[in-house]
Amino acid sequence: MRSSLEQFERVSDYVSGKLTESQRGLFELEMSNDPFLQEQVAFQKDMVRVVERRALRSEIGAVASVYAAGGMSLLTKLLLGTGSVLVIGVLSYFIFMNQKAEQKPQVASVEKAKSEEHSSVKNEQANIGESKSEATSTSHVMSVDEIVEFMRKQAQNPSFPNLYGSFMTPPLLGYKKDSLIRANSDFVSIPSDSLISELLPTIEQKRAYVGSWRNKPMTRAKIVKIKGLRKQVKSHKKAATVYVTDEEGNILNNAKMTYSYFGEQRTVAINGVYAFDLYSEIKTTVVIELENGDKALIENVDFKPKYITYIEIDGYSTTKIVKRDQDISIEK
Amino acid sequence: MTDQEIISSIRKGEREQAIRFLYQEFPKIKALILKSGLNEVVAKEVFNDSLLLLIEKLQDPNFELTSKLTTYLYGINRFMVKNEMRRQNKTAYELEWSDTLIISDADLGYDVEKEERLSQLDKILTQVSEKCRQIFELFYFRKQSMEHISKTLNYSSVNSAKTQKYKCIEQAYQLAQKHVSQTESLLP
Repeated sequence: MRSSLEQFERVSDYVSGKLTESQRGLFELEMSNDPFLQEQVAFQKDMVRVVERRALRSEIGAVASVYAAGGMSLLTKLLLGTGSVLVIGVLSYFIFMNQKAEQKPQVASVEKAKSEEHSSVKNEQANIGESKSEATSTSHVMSVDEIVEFMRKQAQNPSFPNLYGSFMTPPLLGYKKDSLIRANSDFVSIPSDSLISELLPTIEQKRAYVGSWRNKPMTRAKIVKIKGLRKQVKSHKKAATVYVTDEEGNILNNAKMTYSYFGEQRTVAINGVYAFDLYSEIKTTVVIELENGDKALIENVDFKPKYITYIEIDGYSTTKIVKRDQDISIEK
Repeated sequence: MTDQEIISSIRKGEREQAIRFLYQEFPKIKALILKSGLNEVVAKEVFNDSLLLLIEKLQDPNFELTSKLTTYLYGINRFMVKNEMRRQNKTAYELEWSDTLIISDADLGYDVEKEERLSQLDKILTQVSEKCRQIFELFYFRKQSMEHISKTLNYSSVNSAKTQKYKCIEQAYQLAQKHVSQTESLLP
């Protein structure tokens, strides 16, 4: 630096805001004609910023390390945070393994969609029992690639119907181990010619979950504090698990009701921090995406869950299926 | 903590509790970052850098928050992920962030060139002596007077502390200049 100590001090005082108003005015006037002085000022301003950042980084780093070490108590985790709530349904490993013994369920009849917004769907009578029966009898095999191709076509041509045979909001679908259930008049509506109805036997067989919980607005989910939650969750470590996350209370409430209704074990984490902590190793997820679910399917098709066959349905428009070892197929 | 409490404590320089509170968003944001195709290490860096930018922003008395604080934090992370993806020549998975606030360079006052310059200067600070780093911290960050610094660091007089500070900054400046000339010589 070619500046003198005296000039350096002036720059330093200017950057630190120690000059009086008149001194500052004179300094700025001088600076406007002196590129080197400008450079010195810029350099010292950068120095201030960098030194401040180093201190700030170190504070953030300290919190991060405490956080990584699990610094918050369970109670704190339970109490803090109002973000995402995770609703977790745990499928018993044994049920999962013994699915074949339990398959070939009777599927409840499904009514047409009642939404006034979707009259095309509304007019389609659907009977999933029949669909399943037909699909099974024809031994239809739907590979993942076929489904992806289906989705690609849909993406390319907006008039190509989506998996639900409609162009708007998908039906609300729940799945129980031995039947599709209509929880209430709006809960399940699946057009008989939609792809999802063909997949139902596969879903039965693979015991993967399909979930979409968008329903009529409900009261915000009641947050449940479960005693011994961590212990309970750890005891299911080997279980096949589906977890649902969303920040909308009504969606979570519906998910919670759905799983309860299906008679599955479920765990509710009071906040996302706690849930992520508990379930950091879980690879299988049902995600409720936002608007562009079709695109999500295509872009995320490489996602390979580690533990179980995986079916994902978003709250709006699409289905995602990922295989593990073999294509999903509908067997006789 | 409410947003206002967080902002207020940050502006008062009492940042630890605020940082701890905001850090609770890390797992969720990390999940998004990982889904975007970046790894765990980068996810942590991105989050920490975003938190840093947020705090810097909040320290500015002219800054007015127009959303929830955590929403803004998500937005900054989205912005930083996009930058990182661009830097790594990866395709940005915008979809993962589809319900996140969109923040632009201008909103954030983020200048890539300047950030690189600061990053370089940060590296330079690791090359200067420990004594210099102490002086810089006391003077630029703690805003202590030279008199106080001379006592803290056991200089014989205020003038010798000032001289040392001058030498330190000159050393840093020379290193920065050296880096600039090296970078320029690498350009085609």
